[in-house]
Amino acid sequence: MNDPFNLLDPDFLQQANAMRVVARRVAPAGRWAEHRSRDRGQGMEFRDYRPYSPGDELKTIDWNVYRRLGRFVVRLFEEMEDLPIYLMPDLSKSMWHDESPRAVTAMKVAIAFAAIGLDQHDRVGVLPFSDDLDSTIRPTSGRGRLPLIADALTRAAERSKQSPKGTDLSESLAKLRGLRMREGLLVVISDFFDPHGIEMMMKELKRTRHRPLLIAISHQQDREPEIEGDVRVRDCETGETQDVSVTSTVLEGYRKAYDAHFERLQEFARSRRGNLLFLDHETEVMKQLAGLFEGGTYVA
Amino acid sequence: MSFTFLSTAAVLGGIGVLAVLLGILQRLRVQHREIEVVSTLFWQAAVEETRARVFVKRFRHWPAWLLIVTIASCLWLLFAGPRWIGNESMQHVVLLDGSVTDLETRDADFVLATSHASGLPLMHREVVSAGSRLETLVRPGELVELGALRVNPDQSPGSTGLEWALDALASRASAERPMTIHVIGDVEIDARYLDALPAELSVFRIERGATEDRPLLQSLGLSSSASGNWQTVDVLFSPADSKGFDVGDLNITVSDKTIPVGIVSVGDGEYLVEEVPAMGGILRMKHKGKEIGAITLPQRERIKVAFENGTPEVLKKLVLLDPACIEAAASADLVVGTSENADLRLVSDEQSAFEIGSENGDAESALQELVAELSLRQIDANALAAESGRLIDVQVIANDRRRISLWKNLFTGKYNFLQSRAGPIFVARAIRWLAQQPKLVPWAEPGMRLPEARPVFERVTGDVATASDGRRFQATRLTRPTRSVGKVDDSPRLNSFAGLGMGTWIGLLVVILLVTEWGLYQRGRMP
Repeated sequence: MNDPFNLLDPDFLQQANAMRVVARRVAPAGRWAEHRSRDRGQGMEFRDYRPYSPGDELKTIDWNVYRRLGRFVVRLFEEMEDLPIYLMPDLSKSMWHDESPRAVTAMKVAIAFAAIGLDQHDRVGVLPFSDDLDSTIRPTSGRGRLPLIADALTRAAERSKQSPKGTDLSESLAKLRGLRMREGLLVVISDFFDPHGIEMMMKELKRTRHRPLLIAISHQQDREPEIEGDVRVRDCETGETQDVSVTSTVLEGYRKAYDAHFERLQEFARSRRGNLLFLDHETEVMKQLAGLFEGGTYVA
Repeated sequence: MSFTFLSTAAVLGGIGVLAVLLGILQRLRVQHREIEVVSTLFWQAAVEETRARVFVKRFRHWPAWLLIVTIASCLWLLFAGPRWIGNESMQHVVLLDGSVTDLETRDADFVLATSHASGLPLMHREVVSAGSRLETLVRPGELVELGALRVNPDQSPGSTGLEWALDALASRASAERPMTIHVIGDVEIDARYLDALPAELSVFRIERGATEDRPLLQSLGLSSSASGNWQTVDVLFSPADSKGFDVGDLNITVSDKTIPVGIVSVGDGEYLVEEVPAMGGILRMKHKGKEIGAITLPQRERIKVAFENGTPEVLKKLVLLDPACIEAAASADLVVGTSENADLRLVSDEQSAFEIGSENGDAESALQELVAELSLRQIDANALAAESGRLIDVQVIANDRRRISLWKNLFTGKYNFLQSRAGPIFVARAIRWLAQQPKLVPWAEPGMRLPEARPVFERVTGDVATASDGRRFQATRLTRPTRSVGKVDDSPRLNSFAGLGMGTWIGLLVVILLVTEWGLYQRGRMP
């Protein structure tokens, strides 16, 4: 299989498989898997009683209770279901701007989460985005599906690298919302530099039902640019320019704006019991992800 | 405010031009190098926050432009040479008490005068020295440095007091052009005199500050020698406070040469310097090297007397008995005879017995003076009247020179005048009185006008002061210690604050503004 981005690096996947994603509670109506569901069903762990109603299987009736109280009650067990994981790697132009593209790092993170999800029988959906959401890769489950996901992701990446487009996270999230997918873990892997501004982005993020995990692919120079003097900065996606006389004051203003931008994302993630992780794309991915998986487990 | 090098219009125009130029500079676009970045999102936000150089578009930070214009304007004002003025029409005269003969004090006074004058309006200031006469050291519009070239290092002592100088300057003041006189020196000015000054004239004193204390002479004067020697004089002086005053520390010079003199205490804290040669020149008294007083000595040659025909022989003998007199037919100082030109004129009995012509216009005071000077009181007028059968009177008339007319018969034996004690004395004193021109001023005290100097001196040269009516006097001057309390207010500091000129303050303001700008820049308040 053609793997130009080395997504299926065995060592990398081995490290990923050592990690687990545990959901506090998953949405009902899922497939059987390892996560405790809000459903009551056929699991091993007793959860509650309820009065017998016609149609209930006789084997679920607790005969001991009937003997003592003369009433039919049914024993309920905790249902174990899967956690849908939706991976949204950003493949916009800004992700391909650097010499060492951030998009590759984003894909590796996506593959890592896909490997983790598939390994624990979760349904994994990979939805690359730039100015729109690419929903052609259908959500799937099963350990053997990882190469298919990697292949689909590689093809999507090559397409976007050939003809890179701008970032429109809000539009992509809106489209995701329109897909009416089961509530799950939404992993957005991006630089979060949406030319439409933080407000538009926040508006759509707040509308999503999924539990967010925001992974910001960053670079040290994103916050501390090594630019001096009078410059005209050109946005690599929109082509817009801005004349700047770089002084310590301007740099301070830049940092303030940068920090404010990501503080908004951080606040949003926390409000949804999610997380925001800064991931330096020039540093080894798994080591940085390990910080998120305390004891090898990420609780979603 | 006025300006030394530019007109007010030019200064204001310059500030306007600077403001416009700086405004244009603010609009100049910078040549930028282009850099492609991942996102311009944060750059836009940063520039929005610190947008100041585009005030034409947004006036959020117009104070930045204002600050720069202020700094540039201050520099422009400095270039224009600003000066404070209270009143454009006010004339300022810095008046140096030029009679101070102590070189050290005189130099310090001159430095103080030029320093003070440099802060006054250039076109309305003068520095004038009131020495033996009024000398303008710095004229309006001139730089004060020129004054140093005009100072007379050999200035002779002038008269006591500055009233005469103030009078001369006051004549230039008017309601349209009032005058402020800044006095440098500690000579006292009579308060009554100051009160009588016209409203358009203000007199202030510039404080010299404390200097070394020196003994003060209470008085200094000279008189004809008690020995009767015509060619010597006695100099009297009295220190104001004998504490700290030691005669042994006194050095007396005439024309910068120490003279061997004997100083005798005559009681009451007075001292007498006896037998000082009356050869002219300035007698200076120095105590521990510091001058404390000076007086101009008279120049007395032997009196050359010419006798006209018909002069009684007895009179001739009487005159020549005085060793101060010698007979000289030509170039005589005095003429004795019967002609109209004679200084001691012998007249017939038909005329007044004694007719004295004096340069003192006040007949009464002249008579009082002459009674003592000529020993008129010793003449036995009653005896003469009885012998002559006429009233013996003394008439004093104002004259441009001294003259004495008396009866010729007083020397012919008709009367008993020569036999009386008064006769020889009168003749001797009359000859010396007639020869004594200019008149010897016998006494002077600090701050007092010379008694004969009224109304005022017209001019004072090295040796003599000449009054407006033509009379001439010897000049005497005492040096006062600088700690003396003036009778006029301290001079207002028109041009300065805490000793600094306006230019210095503007310079300091520029520095403060630049530091402020730097501080604002460092704190990110300014781009």
